[in-house]
Amino acid sequence: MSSFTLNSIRIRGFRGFVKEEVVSTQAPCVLLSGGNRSGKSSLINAIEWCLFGKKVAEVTTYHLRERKDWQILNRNSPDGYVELTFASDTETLIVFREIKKKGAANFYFQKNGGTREQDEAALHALLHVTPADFLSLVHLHPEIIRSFVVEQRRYREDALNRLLGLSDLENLIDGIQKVSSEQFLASFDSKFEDVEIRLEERLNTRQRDLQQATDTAKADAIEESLFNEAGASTICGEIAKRLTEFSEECDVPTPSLPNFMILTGQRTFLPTARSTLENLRIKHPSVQSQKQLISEQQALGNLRDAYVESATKLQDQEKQLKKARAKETIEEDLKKARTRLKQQKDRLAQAERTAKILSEALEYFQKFAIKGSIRCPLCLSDTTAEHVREHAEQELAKPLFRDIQAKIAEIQKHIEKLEDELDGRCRLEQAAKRWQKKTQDNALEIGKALRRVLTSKDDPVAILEKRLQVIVEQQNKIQASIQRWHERLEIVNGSIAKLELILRILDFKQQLDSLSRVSQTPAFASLQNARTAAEKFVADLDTLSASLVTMVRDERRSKLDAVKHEISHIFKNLTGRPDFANLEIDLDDPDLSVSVTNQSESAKATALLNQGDLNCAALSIFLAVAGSTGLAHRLGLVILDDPGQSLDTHHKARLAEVLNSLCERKQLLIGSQDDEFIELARQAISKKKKLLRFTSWDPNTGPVLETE
Amino acid sequence: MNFEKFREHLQVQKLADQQLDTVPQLLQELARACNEGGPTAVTHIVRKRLAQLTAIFEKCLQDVKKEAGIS
Repeated sequence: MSSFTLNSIRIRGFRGFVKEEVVSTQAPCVLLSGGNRSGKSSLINAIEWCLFGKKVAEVTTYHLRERKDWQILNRNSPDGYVELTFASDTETLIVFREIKKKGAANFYFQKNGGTREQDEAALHALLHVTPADFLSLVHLHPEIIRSFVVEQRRYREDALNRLLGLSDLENLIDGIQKVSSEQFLASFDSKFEDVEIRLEERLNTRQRDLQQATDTAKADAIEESLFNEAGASTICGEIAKRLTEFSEECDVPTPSLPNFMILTGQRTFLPTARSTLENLRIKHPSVQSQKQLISEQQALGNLRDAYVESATKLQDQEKQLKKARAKETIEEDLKKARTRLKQQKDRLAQAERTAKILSEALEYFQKFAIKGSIRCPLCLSDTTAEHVREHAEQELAKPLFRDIQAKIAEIQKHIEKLEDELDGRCRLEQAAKRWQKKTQDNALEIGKALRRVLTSKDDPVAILEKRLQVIVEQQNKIQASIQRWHERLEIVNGSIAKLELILRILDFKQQLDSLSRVSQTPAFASLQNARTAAEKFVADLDTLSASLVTMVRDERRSKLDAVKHEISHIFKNLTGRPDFANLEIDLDDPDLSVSVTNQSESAKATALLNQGDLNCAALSIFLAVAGSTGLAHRLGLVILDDPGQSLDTHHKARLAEVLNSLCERKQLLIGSQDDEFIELARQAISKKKKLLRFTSWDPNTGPVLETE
Repeated sequence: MNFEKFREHLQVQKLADQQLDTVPQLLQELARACNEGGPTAVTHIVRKRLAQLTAIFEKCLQDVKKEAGIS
């Protein structure tokens, strides 16, 4: 398969280019000459952009700081495009890429004038080149070249891998190795182990439960032969038979018991049998009779207590009435007291009237002087006025009023006491009536309860006590019957307890069986499959990663071995050093050191070489690899952007000679602002050359090109 | 990337039988991701696959726990 060389570039609206330019590059060597900002680099960049689009501007991927914030579309153009025309010995290839400010951009490639294809990956497959390959194998960029010899080991390896077309493999390895897949498996193992431990613990617990239940059953004299479904069924049958018999005996409906032939039925049989048994305990006629007797006993007891209480209260009241004076006596005393009170009040009124007369008499005697004998109104004797006056004064001075008032108060107090006594007597009479009524009512209730009429001659308490005595005797008789009934039921209860124990044993056995078969379940198999799938994926990743590492190492060694002599040859031609003529990359050195050697000595390039020779060393590696026919890509084109940087005239001339040799195998596209180097290249390269001079650049019209 | 070359390389490795198909398939999947998004995309794919496997494992683990009555 022959390689493609570049015949022409049609360009418009890309970076520095404004109007359309058609640049013919149909020559083994194309020299691009011009100063800074003349459009020279824009033309070189147009080639890679057309082939790879914005991927080449991804500075993080290719470490090209120059590409940061790349302005692809020319600032004065609404749209732009680049069209590349390639040709090989037998084929033609047109690649077109468009960019627009608005609307969808267009891309296609067309092989041998056929259909336009838009799959960029198909173009890269056709050329056997990726963006990374292009930037290291085809386009020698000044930023990349120095990495070969001076950067840290990681960057040097990275640059070397890119140069050798191995960067994608390295990226793949990096991407895989960033994930700690072993941790996932460790987590799976830990969780799986946890489940196994808990399963084991559960098995042990159930085993202990089973042992304890079995021991208890044996201690309860349950035969071991019954520790199964059939044994449980036998016991269920016995229980069912007894319960049916008892139900008939108690005249209650025959219980509806679940089918106990299988374990699930036996499990529901157990609570049903238990509740049926409890029902029978209370449904037996003796129990019912006992219940009625107890109820009657309580009711009669309450009636007796109520009667005794009311009768006792009545007796108390009657005793108090007997102790109290008769009502008539109190009323007679009260009448007398009220008469006395009236008498005293009359006396008081008379005394008040007399006192008034005396007062008036004294007032008279004081006003008028009376002579002769007068009759004393007090003692009715004939006497003098003086005597009457003195008598009146004596009478007025007597404590008559106080005596009368004290007597009145005494009588009133006595009357109050008598009235209270009378009230108390009345209250006692009323209370006695109430208790008498209550006692009569209670006697009636007792009569009703005993279903007989009680006369006043009957003693309700005595009659009640007789009935209560009869009840106690009946209860004693029933109690013996109930005792026998309970003993019979207890036998069934024992069978139910046996059944419960056997069912528990069967449950534990079943759980043990299920637990021991967990590892045979589909769920467990799925879990193991999931773990195996994860293990396999991690194993695949490890294999892939290890294979990639081996392949990168082998590929690197193989490719560098193929150009080993060419690297030294170019280095020798470029530098012409008499002391260390050879340049080698030590692939066995973990640092991938670049060394200069002679027949007996070796030294690190960075330690020995000056800046110009270091550039020559990097150029030697690039040119040897880029010119190698052993590389797989189909671009027969090498682009060198300012390769003579930092070289003196002597070295530039040597570089031109090396490029002449490279031009035998590859089409060269060399850009430089160095006129001296351009001239040296023109002279040294013997193949047909095309010189494109970028004389000036205008923001509105773009670069001005002259072709020689 | 030259897959064919890598396939050849894998063939000379001593792969287990069950890896003869899966490893090249995995390579193809990861290489496609790498072409589109670099190492980050590869890491993403690997983590995604591991997360899927973890989810399946967790689901199966819950089923087994339920079966064993230890959930």
